[in-house]
Amino acid sequence: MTTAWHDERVDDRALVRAVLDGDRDAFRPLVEREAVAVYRTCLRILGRPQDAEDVAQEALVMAYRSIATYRGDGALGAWLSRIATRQAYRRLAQRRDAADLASVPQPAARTDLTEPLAATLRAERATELRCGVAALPEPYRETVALRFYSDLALDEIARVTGRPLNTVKTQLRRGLEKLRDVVGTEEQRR
Amino acid sequence: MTRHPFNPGELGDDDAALTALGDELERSATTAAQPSVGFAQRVLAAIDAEPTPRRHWYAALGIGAMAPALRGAVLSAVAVAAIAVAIVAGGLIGPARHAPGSDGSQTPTATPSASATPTPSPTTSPPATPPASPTFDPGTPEPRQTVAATDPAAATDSAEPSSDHGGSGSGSPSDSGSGSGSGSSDSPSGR
Repeated sequence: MTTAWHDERVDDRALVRAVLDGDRDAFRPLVEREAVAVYRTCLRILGRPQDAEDVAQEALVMAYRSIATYRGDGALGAWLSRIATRQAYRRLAQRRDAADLASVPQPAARTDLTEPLAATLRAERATELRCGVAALPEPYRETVALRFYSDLALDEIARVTGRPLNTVKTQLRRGLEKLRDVVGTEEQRR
Repeated sequence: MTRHPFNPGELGDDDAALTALGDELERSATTAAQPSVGFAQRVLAAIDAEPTPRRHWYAALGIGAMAPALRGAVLSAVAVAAIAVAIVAGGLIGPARHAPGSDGSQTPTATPSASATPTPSPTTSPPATPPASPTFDPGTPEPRQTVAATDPAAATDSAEPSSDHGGSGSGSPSDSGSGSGSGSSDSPSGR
């Protein structure tokens, strides 16, 4: 029996069932569909393309191995994003350059900038934010990362984590409050 | 994956500083970066080297799609129920085992009363009757004793089988002496 797995209307659960029934080809369109998104999630967390590619591959292989644990809550892509986020933070911890809240560099004051300098400062600021998010305690880190680095909507985060929507909203808000306490805001830097 | 632009309403109430931080996070995360060429093929090659994933054993129980916490609760409930059933069953079996007449262990105590009648008769009558009754008294006592001693079917009708089995089965010195003594001494005497 051939199934059009590339058809986006195909139910994720049907795809998972097919994989569990031994149809390896059923996983292929999922990889082709989600590889870029998974890679970008990892890149936003890790900041290094080579690491991001390694971890994205690990995450996709891990998803294949543990696909039996997919419960069908939310999209398969969101489930993959959660795996990728966890794997990326695990790699970050192994790299031992994950900054804790105290070691996040203090934001520099901005003056009149030339374009190259502005680009450099933007990159620095992006690093500050990345380190700040990485240093957040769980579950705030996961919620902020899934929202901003994996581009998931709040209801998707709620479904994939099994938490109530209002809990996710609270976690996002508190996570941003904690992040603001550490890295400040752009306005404060001006 | 669908792009979901950050919406200040996601934070609940209106906090300009948090909204600005959310906007900034979103801008810093915006990227058009692509993995290197052939990335998906490398991933698929790595997956081809993996064994086919298997369903979890609890999927067969119909709880595979449950959240882990709920699944744990269901499995715990099943385990508790199984233990409770074992305890209740043990509670029922224990008293039943000690109930009078329900088990072989109790029968030896009943045996003496049941076999009390045959025991004295074989020991006394065989030596007593042959010499004493050749001429006068052939009928009354002897047939009763012969039937009771030789015909197991007659003994089987009453409560004797259980007591007989129990008597020989239990092997207690006092009871087996009477139970088996009746059978062994009867058959030689009858024949």
